[in-house]
Order: sequence, then structure tokens, then C-alpha cells
Amino acid sequence: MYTMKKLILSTITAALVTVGTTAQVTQDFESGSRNAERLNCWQFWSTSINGGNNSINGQFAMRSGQMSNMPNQQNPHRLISPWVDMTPGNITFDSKLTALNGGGKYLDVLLIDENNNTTTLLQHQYSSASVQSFTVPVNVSGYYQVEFQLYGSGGNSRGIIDDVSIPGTYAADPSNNPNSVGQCPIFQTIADADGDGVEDSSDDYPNDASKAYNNYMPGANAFNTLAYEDLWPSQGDYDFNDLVVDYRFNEITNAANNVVQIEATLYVRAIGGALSNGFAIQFDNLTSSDIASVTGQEITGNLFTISGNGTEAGQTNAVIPVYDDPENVINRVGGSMYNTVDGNPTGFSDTINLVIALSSPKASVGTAPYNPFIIKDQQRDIEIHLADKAPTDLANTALFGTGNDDSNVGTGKYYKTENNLPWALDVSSTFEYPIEGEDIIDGYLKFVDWAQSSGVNFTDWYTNTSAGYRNNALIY
Amino acid sequence: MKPITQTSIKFKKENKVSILENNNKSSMKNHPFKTLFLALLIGLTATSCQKDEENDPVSSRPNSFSELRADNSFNWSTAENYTIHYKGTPVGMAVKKPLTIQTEDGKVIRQVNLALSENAVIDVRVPSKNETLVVSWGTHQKTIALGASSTIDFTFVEPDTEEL
Repeated sequence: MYTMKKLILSTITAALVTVGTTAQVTQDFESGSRNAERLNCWQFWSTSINGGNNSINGQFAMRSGQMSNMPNQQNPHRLISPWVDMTPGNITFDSKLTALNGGGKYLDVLLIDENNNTTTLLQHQYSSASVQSFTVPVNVSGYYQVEFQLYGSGGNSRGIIDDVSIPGTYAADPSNNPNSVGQCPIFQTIADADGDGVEDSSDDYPNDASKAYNNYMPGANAFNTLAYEDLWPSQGDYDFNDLVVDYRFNEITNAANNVVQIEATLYVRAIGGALSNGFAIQFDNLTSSDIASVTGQEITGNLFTISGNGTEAGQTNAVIPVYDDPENVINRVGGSMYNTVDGNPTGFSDTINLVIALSSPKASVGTAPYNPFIIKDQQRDIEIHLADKAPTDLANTALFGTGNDDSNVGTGKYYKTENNLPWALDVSSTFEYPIEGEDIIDGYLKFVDWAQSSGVNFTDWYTNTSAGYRNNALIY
Repeated sequence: MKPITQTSIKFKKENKVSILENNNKSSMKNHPFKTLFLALLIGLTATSCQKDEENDPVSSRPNSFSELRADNSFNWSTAENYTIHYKGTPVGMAVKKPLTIQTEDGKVIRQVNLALSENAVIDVRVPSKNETLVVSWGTHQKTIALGASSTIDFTFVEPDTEEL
């Protein structure tokens, strides 16, 4: 009972304090940074923020340039507040001079209205350099800026202003601040049809409150490429065209910046081998139960056991089978292989559009392309991943260390040879892969330099921006 | 396998031999002393040729991918992961806008809904060949230089430089 009374009393007291307090826009310059305050829509024209002897209260205050060649208001030193939705009350501030010398030294305070008309509230001539506290009554309502002007003639006096308080509420739009000099317009209420707090103009899903932004990797209209060798644990011919898949992922986030859905656009560009390899993606940062549903998979056989939510059964991490048989998605048009032999007809692939809905929004789902892998020749326990990407629960780790493989679970080395060579590459571009049987180092002439430097030199080895980067005769 | 580098070295050798053969044909008959000179020249040329081959960095290239040797720490990635620590700056209105991360070729790779005053930690993956990222919020825009560190501290507040 006592506790309840105390709570009620506290609530009433808080309410009275709130009612009795008029909203104020304040500026004490304690950020110590003029540029920071400019981002807060305060304008500094021939004025700065200084500390030491220039401060009045705290460590910093606004200081003007020398008030020596400005005998009138034509070109004064100025401080201009952000737009304030003003209420009648008092503008208060402290001011002093660094010294009082030369001719007259003046301080004016003006109101600026929405039509850029000005009203002078105060004209003050300094009679000493000491600190003075000012209270300037203002009896207006609506949108105004407050401008402080400092000017004078002769001498080297500088004006100092601190602890400005303006009656009203902050009404400037800090997102509209061209050149970051503080000239922000009055904030306009945003249109937000779905009410998620993201304005329609920047909301990629303006009518869906559960989604806000697309986050494409590598970009809205771009693709990267995965290129595999498929003979693991044995080495192959290293033309990296046994499977070539272009990918683009989209992590769709909500207004709270959590991922609610992952979309993948995949296109099989080449299959330069005879094995029937499946393809799947493991999300190392998600569990199977994190997935609500998956659409767009191309599954026709029994290679994968699929759970009701579209993930592969028996896995701890979320594993999304993409296709079990590449013939489900490619369209051969004759000749051997699929788009790896020069002169053969060019086949085409269906575009695979995976939509992976999450059970609940996630702060992070990992980094695209996550952990994509092939399943070798319909043998579910033989997986081939990118270098140092972990296998799934269903991979036969007894194969590690056999053939040319030198994977070591203890050290986290996966799918590399003793010489640390990979079976797959993730290329940050649409990769133009070697033609059938041609070693990648013969087609891409800077590849060796890139690899031997651990990726430091020739980071653009896969491009064709400079002469001497590749032998086009060996590239499909 | 047809390593281009080997072909190139072979070509150089053949060229030199060919020139020497031509010289022999034109001069040996009329000037016996020139024979000695040419022998010396052949010796010098041969020595020079051998030296070039030994020092040519190209000859250290493997003949095939399978002969390559990479460092154990190399993950063969053509992209780098960066974590951007965005430090907000206090402003009077908590209007939210997307903080947009763009690659240098204009691809938007991340949008984060936040007020200018909020802090954020943002992970992005960028092609290793890229040198910059462009970060924008409302009308504010700033370019980040990508360096060796995978952690980037970022704020829109520029240091004050002008002293009045």
C-alpha cells in the first residue's frame, strides 16, 4: 500500500514538473566541435567553437572572429540556430568579449521567419568585456530561427556566446543539410504508408511493415560467380568450370535493421564435367529452426531429405538444398559438356529464385555467399566447399586427409591441399571461366601473383582492365 | 599444359641463335680474326642468356595450378569483410533515414535505418580490388578509404580545421 502511494505521488510530481517545464532548444557548445554542431543544424559564419579562456560555462563556447572591420550589420560574425517551433518565452544566453578595445562592439539578436523576414529583438553595445547574462523576451509562435550577430570596428575584440536557450521545440531536418554547413530546412512530416517508421521514399516495401530495405550482394543488378572443381578429394584439371554458378543475394531487413528474409538469384553458367552434382547452401549462423519456409528449390530426386520448412533434415545449421540434379535447371543444346567447349552451341539455365523466410528477425545471418557447396555425383556424404568453409553435419569427414585433401578439423583448414590449394573460388564479379581443360593460371596471367602474395597483389586478376591480364584464347 | 612463360623464353633463345647464324654466314670467309671475335661474342651471349633465365622472376612461376603453393592463411577470397563502427553525432531531431553503403562503382550493398545520433555496427563485404566505400545519410556523404584493417571507425563529423 505504501509503495503504491509512493508510486502515485512520484507520478503526479513528475507530471507537474513536465507541465511546468517549457520545452527549450539549447546550445552549450560542449561538443567542442563546430562541424558536429553544423550537423545539428546550427550555422557558424565567421564564428567557431573554442575552449580555454574563451569559455564561459563548461569547457567550450562560441567565439567570433575579430570585431574590427565590421562597423555595421552588413557582414557581421553570425551564429544561427536551427528552426525552432517557437513558443512565447525568453531567449537566454551569456556573452562576453575577449577584450574591449578599438571602436564600438555590438551584439544583435534577430528572429528569422519562414519567409526569411527578420525582426530585431536586441541591439546591445558592449560596455565591458565581462560576462553578462541576457534574457530576451519573445512573444511569437511558429517556426523561427534565432540569429546572433557580432560586429564592431577597430581593435581585436572577439565576441563570445555560451549557454543559449530558446523557447520551443527543435524543428529542423538534420537529414537535409547541403554541404553540411547547418542550413537545414524545417522538418516535414514523412509519408509512411505502412507505419513502420521508414518513410515511403526510402522504403523498398512501403506497404509492408515487416520489411524495409533490400541489401543486395554484390549489387541490385550485379552477379558474383562461384567456380568449382568437382573431383575432391582428388585434384582436377583446375579449369574451375566443373560448376560455374552466378549468384546475387538479397538480405531484406525490417525497420529495426534485422533480417527477415533472404533471397537468392542463381544461374548455372557452366558444367564442365560428367558428374551429376547437387548444389546447396549452408548458413553457418542460422539453425534449421531459424527458417520458416523456402521456395524456389529445384528438387526432383532423393539426394536430400527435406524438412517441412525447406531445410535439409538432420542438420544443425540451416542447409538449403538448391537443386539435386543440375539437369533440373540447365538446358543443353547439343555438344559435349555445358558451355565449356569453345564452338559448341551455348546452353542456358533457368534462373533459380530462392526465397528463404526466417522464423523471426535476425540481427545477422552471416555474409553472402554464406557457405555454398556441391554434393559430388549424387553421393550425399561427399561435399565440396570453398576453402576453409566447414562441411555440413552430413559430410563424411573420414574423407578429410585422403587423396589430395589436407583438411584438418582441429585447425579449421577445410577443402585445401597440402599446398593450400582450393577446390572452389568465389569471384567478386561475373567470372569468365577457362575453356574446358585449360588451367586457370594459363588463362588468367596474374592469378599466380595474386595467389603467391596471399591475395595482396593483383586483387583484380579476374578483370580485363589492363593488358597482360589474361589469355583470351583460353577463356570461354 | 602450355605455360606462356616457357614459350616466351624459348622464343628469345631462338631469336639469338638465328642472329648468330646469319653473322657466321656473312663474315667467316673473309676475316679469320673475326672468327675469334665471334667466338667470344657467342660465349658472352650464351653466358648472358643463361643469366637472364636464372634471374627472370617469371621462371619461378609454376607450370600449372597444381604446382602452386599458397600460404596456409590464404582463404582464396576475392573480397574482404569490413566492420564499420558508425559513431553518431547528437542532433535535435531523431529523424531516421537509411545510412547507405555504396561501393566505388555505385552498387548499394547495405542500408541501415537510423537517426544521425545513433551508433551502429555494420558488416559489409567488398571486392578486394576496391579502394573506397561511399557512406551517405540524407544529404551527407563521405568516402571511406579501405586499408589493411578490417575495422573502420566512421563519423560524418569532420575535424574542425579553421581557426578564426
